[in-house]
Amino acid sequence: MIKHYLKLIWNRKRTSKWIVAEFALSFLAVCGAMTAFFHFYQLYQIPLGFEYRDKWQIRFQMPSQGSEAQIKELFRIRDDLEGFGPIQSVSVMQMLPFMNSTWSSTTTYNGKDVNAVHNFMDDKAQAILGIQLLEGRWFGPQDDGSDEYPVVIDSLLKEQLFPDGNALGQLISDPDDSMLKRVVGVMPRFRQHGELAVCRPYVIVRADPNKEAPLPSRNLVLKMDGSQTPEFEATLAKKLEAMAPSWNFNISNWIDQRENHLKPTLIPLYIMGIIISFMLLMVGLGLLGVLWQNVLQRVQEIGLRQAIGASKVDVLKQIAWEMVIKTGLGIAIGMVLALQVPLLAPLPVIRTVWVAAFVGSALVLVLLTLLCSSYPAFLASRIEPALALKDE
Amino acid sequence: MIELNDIEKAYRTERIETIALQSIQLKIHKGQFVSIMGPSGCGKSTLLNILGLLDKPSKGNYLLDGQAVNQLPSKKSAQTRNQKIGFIFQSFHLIPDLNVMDNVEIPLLYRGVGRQERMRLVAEALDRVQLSARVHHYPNQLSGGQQQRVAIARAIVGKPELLLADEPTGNLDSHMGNEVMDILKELNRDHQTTIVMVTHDEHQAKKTDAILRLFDGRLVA
Ligand SMILES: Nc1ncnc2c1ncn2[C@@H]1O[C@H](COP(=O)(O)OP(=O)(O)OP(=O)(O)O)[C@@H](O)[C@H]1O
Ligand SMILES: [Mg+2]
Repeated sequence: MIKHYLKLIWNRKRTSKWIVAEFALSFLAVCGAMTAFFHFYQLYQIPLGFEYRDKWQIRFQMPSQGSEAQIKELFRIRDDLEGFGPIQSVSVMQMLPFMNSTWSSTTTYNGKDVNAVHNFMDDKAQAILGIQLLEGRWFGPQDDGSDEYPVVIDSLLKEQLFPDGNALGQLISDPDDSMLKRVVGVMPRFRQHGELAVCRPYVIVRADPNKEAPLPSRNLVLKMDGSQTPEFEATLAKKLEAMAPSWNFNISNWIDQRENHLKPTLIPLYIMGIIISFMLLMVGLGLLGVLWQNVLQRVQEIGLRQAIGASKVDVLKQIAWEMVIKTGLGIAIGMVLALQVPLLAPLPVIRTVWVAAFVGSALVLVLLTLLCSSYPAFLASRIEPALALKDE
Repeated sequence: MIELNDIEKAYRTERIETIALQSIQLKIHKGQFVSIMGPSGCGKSTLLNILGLLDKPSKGNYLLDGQAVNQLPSKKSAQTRNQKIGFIFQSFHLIPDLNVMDNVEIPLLYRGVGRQERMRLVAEALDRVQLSARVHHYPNQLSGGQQQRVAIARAIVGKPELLLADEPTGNLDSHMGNEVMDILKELNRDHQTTIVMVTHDEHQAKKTDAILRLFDGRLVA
């Protein structure tokens, strides 16, 4: 029977091909949107690696960059702020999360180079950020006085740099500077750019007031006790002005920072979602119209089929099958076209996301087809053969 | 084979009620070739549709092969049409996008006959109507007479006991009409197929075993 429907569709290709083309293009559009959606959804599922709630940040602009005195001053302010109002504890951090800047550099071990994001944090940062270590330890006073820089790396860098699994205690270097870094701990992914950014290998170097750093730290992270109010910002600003009269600074909280950082990714996603929904609505309504007309044009054929043995259910099945076959053809063509995309330009998307987007878009289109053909198919099954076959 | 008892058919629209058939008593035996005649609008097609289970009578009983069929559920009546009845229409009603072969095999598809058997039955039916050379033609590549022969092949491919023909020669010139009549006569003779044919052509009607005359919804002697 399906072969019979295929013959009908093939012999009616003059009209069938447009529906097939419509579905091929719709598949491409839906698949593109779903790929983006699943890609970001999959990223969103990966833990951030740190706790962003009840965190404030202070970014300082200092008149002269990176003098030793300034670094010491920053650590002094850090210690003085602790316990002030709702501030529980304070940490020095070089690169703040949810900002557009990144410091990436090469890490070399055993002749292997991996590009990784770097950051400097002080001894208290682990507790303040709630970083869970997988192995080893965070930095501490026991690292004082060494020539090496203790570092905590993330599991992604560990996989890439130490495939045999032994990272602790190893020395990694950087061809661009003379710092020798000793791995003291391994943490899960650290997602500086938030939940919607692709994970990158990560290195946290100990920020030490007594040691030279290629990029001096200028930021503080405040862990609040939860009782902070927006008004506290003014109190804090006054305090900072008194503590460091020659520095400019900027206070913000990480909830706002995060939201603003996600917006440029989320807004296009929302817009795309709306456009795709409208497109599907259009395709659906168009399909409904085309099918309706198709049924009206085929009243005689349907009447005849009933006369020679088709039941009402057979008629329903035929209309639905014909549509599903056309949709299936369109989806197949769309899939072949969509498969060219990763061949031409590799996307930073994992394979499960592709597969999910393919299956998901195919399902959406088949459902849409069944939905839109159900009413015309019902109309077709209501055709009375005695009326349809009247010879005039 | 066919027994109608007091059949009545009324069409009700919002205002008008048309009585298309009333008090029809009719018996047709197996192997009979009967023609129905009467003026336009007297109810011939209505009667044929009831005989063919395409329409239900408003009143009365219809026994087909001794089985009451006037209240069959629609699935059952589709099955009965498929297995016991063949239809031939004035305007052929071939599906234009399918070739001769594909048109003729449709009743067998609904019966779930396998491909091999289908090919054999289609070849046999086309042979009967002498169109074996035209299997791959499309309906618009055939003359009216040939198209009607394809329609006959489709009607007989499943070897039905009853053939219903509504003015089968109505759209054909007398030569082609005679050809079609000859085929029907042959079928009736060789296979004892019961045939009920509506016609306006007295000449064709005379070739059948009996003529039923309808007037204003009633059978007249
Ligand atoms: N679906 C319908 N609704 C209302 N009236 C109908 C319907 N079908 C047929 N009729 C009426 O029933 C009567 C019989 O119609 P029928 O088609 O059986 O005539 P006929 O004898 O086949 O005529 P013709 O020789 O022109 O084909 C006519 O008066 C017709 O108007
Ligand atoms: Mg008629």
